[in-house]
Amino acid sequence: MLLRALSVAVASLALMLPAFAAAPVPAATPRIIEIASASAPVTGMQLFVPAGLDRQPRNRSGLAAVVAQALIETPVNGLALALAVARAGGSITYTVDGQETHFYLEAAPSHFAEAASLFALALTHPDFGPVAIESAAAYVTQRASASNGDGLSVGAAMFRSIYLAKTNAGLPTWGSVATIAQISPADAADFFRENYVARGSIIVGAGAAAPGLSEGERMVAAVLPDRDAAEIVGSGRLPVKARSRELVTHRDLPAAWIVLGYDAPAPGSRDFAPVLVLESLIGQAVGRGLAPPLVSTPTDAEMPVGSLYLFDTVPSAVIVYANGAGGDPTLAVRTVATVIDTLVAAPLTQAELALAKAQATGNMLFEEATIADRSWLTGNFAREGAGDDYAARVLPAIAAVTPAQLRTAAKRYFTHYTTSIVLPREGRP
Amino acid sequence: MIHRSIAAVLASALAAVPLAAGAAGAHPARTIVQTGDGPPLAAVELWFRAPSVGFGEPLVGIAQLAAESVAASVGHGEPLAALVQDSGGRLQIATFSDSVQVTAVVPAASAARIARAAFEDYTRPALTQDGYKRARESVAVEAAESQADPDVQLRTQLFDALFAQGPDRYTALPTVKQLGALAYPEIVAFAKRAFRAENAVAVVTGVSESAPVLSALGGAGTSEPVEAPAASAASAAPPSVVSDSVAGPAFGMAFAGPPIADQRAATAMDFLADYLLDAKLGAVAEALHGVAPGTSVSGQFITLHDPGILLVEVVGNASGAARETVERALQRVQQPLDAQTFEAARRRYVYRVLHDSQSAQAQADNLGWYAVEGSPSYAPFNGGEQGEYLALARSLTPEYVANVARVYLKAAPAIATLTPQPAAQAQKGAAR
Repeated sequence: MLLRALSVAVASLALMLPAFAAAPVPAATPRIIEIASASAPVTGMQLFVPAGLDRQPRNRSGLAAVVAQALIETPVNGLALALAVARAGGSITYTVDGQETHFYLEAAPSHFAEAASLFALALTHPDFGPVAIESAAAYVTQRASASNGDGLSVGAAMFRSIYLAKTNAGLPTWGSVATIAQISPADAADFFRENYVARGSIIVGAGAAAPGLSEGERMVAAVLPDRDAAEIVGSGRLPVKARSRELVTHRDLPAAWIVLGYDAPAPGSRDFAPVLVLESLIGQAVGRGLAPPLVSTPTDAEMPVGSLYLFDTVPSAVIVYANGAGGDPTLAVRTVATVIDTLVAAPLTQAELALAKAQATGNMLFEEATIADRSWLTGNFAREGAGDDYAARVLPAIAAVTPAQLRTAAKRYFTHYTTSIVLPREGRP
Repeated sequence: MIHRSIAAVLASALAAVPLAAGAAGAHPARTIVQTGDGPPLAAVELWFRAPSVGFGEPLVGIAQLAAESVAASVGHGEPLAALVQDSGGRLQIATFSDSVQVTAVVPAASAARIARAAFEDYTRPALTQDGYKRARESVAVEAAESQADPDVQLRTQLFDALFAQGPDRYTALPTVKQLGALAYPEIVAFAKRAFRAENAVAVVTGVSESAPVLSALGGAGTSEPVEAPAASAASAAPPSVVSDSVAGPAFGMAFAGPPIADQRAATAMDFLADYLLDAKLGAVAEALHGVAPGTSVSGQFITLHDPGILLVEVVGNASGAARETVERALQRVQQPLDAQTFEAARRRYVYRVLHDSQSAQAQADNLGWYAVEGSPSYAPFNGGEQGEYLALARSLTPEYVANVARVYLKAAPAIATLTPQPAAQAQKGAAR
C-alpha cells in the first residue's frame, strides 16, 4: 500500500476544475491523505467533516443525521445525489459519529471523477428546503425507531451516553422522534454552513488511483469553505468514568443483552496496542466460554458474545457484550473478571502472548478489509492525531507488546466498568 | 489457562484415522495465486468439486459435515479450525450444490503456513470421531439458524420445485433428522473421494508474493478437478408450492438459465438480475414501492455449470398485486430497454461487479467459484475492468439482453409462496 500524504497546491486548483472554475478557491483546503492501491478494483474517497453529534444542540438530537441525509438526497442534474452517483457507476453513503460525519464515495475507476463532481455539486448547492428536510427527517426517524430493536446498539448507546457525557457526542446517532420533529430547514442550513468546512476536515483517497482519484479529491476539497467549524456543544455535565455502575433499560427484544464498558486509550497512545491485545484476549475468552463456533459468524450483532474497541471517538472505550439468546450472559461478566484477575496475578507465557498478539493483529487487519474500511481507519487515526500512517504502524506496535505492558494495561483500564443491561419488556412471550 | 485452544480440548481425542495414502507431494488440480498491494490480509481457499448430497443416494448435509469434521479433527497436528483462529484468522466452510469451499482469512504472513496445513488436512484427511462429533454440533447450530431464514426457506422450496433430479434440488444444510442419519463411515467415505488433491482448486489472494504459497501447496496446477461437474435436470413443468412459515408472507420465483459455457448469455442474465433485483435501485423494488411499501426484494443469477438459476425473492408481501408487479417487470425486460436506461443500468452493474470484489476474501470467492464451475478465466475479478467478464459486459446491447430474457424468462418458473404461520402453530413448532 502506498501511503502518501498530499499537500495540495492551492494555486493549481482552479485550472484543474473546469466545472468549478468560477468558484472562489479556498485559501486552505482540507487535509488530504492518499492510500492508493494498484490492485484495487474500485476507487474510493472518505470525506470527514467536523459535523458530528457533538456540534448539535441536545434539543435537536438527530440534526447531524438529517443534514447528511438531506445532502445525499439533494437533486443533482435532476436526480437525488445518491441516485445520480449510482447511475454514474458508483455509490455514496454516510456515517454520523460522535465527533464527525463521514461520507464515503466509491466508483469504478473510470467513473470516479464524474461521481466526485456530482458530490461536489451537492456540497455546493445542498437542498435544505422544507420538503427535503421533511423527507430526510422521516428517514432518520425510521432509523431511530429501528435502532431501538437491536440490543447491542441500545446497550452500546447507553454506555456512550455516560462516557461521552462531557459533550453531546454521546447523543444517539439517529436522535429521537421528539427531537427530530423540532428540526427546521433553518437548523439544517445553519448546521451545514457552520460545520461542513475545510478546517478540521480530512479527505482520504483510496483504491485505484487512475484516472480520477486526485482530481476527485481536489474537486471536493475546493468546495469546502475555509473556516473553522462551530463550537462543540458542552453538556454542562461532568464526564463520568467507568466505575462499576449499572444502567438498565427495557426494549422489545426476545432476550437480555449485557454490555460492559471500559475506559480505553486513544489511537497513538502507548497503551493502545496493549489494550488491543487485551481486548482480543477478552473477546476470545468470552467467546470460547459461551458458544464456541467452529466456523466464524459474519457480524458482531449476530455473535452471541464478543468485544469491540470503540476508537472512533475521543475518549476511546472497550465494550464486551453478551446476548442472552446465545447462552447465560452473566458468564461473560465472570469470564472477563477471570481473565483480568489472571493477568494481574501472573503474566502470560510467551506462547499465550504470541497467540493473543496474532488475534489482535488479525482483528486489526479485518478492520481494513475493504477500501471503505481502509479509508475510514486511516482518516480516523489521522483525525485523532495518531498519524496518517498509523494503520501500518500499529501492527509492529502489537508485535512489540510485552507481558508487563499487558499487566499494566489490565490494571489501568479493566478493573472498573459500567454495566448496561437491556432487558425484554415485561409481558413479552 | 486463559488461552484454551481447541487443540487442548481435543488432546484426548481418539487416534486419527488416515484416509488416503500417496497424496504427499501432490498439488491441487488448479492453483490460482493473486498478489496485491492492499493490507496484509490473505484469503486461502480450497474448493472441491463434489455434490453437497454426496456421490450416491442423496444424503443432505454430508458435504458440510465432512468438511467441518476435517477442520475439527486432530489430523496432522492442531485442528485447522484452531490453527486458523490462533493465527488471528477466521475459518468459513460453505457447501453448494456442486462444490465445497473451505476459506481461511488470515494475516498474510501466515498464508503459506495455513495453505500447507489446509491442503494437507483435506487432501490427506485424518478424521477423528471427536472431530466428527464437534462438527455435528456446529452443523446443527448452523442448520437451525439457516432454517429460520425466509430466504433459505424460499430457496429450499424453489430449488426442489425447479429441478426434477440432481444435487441442485437439495439444501446444503440438513434438518435434525437428516443430520442424525449421517454416520461416521459415510463421512469418511465422502471425504476420501471428494477431498483429493486432483479434485481441488486452491486460491490464494491478498499476498504480496506468490512463491511461498505455491511452494506450500506443492506447486502450481493448471488442470480441471477430476470429478465431473454435477448435473441437475430442470423440471419440464415446475410446480407452484405454498406453505406456511413464521417468515411469511413471502414469495419467490426461480428460472432455469444459461449454462456457464454460454458466457455472453450468462453475463446478460447477471446484468438483468442487477437491473431488476437490486434491493434499493432495481426495477422491481421501484415498481413495488408504490404497490407494496415495506416489501423487500432480492435475487441473483447463480452462474452454474448447467443450468444457471435466476432467483427472485420478495419478503413482506405475497399478494396478487405484488406478484403481478414482479411479473410485469420480468415481461418488460423482454423488450429492449431504451439506450439511456440501458447505459445507466450497465454502469451500475459494472460498478457492482467491481465493488463486490474488493476484499481478499471476495476475490478468492470469485476466482474459486468460476474455476470449480469450469471457467476460471471468466471470473469477473479476473482482469478487472479490462478482463474477459467485463469485456462481455461491455459487449451487451439492449437487443441482445432482451433476446436472452425472452429465451429464459418466458418459460414457466418454479414459484414458492410462504404464508404467515398462525401464532399458536408457530409456538408449537418452536416447542418441538
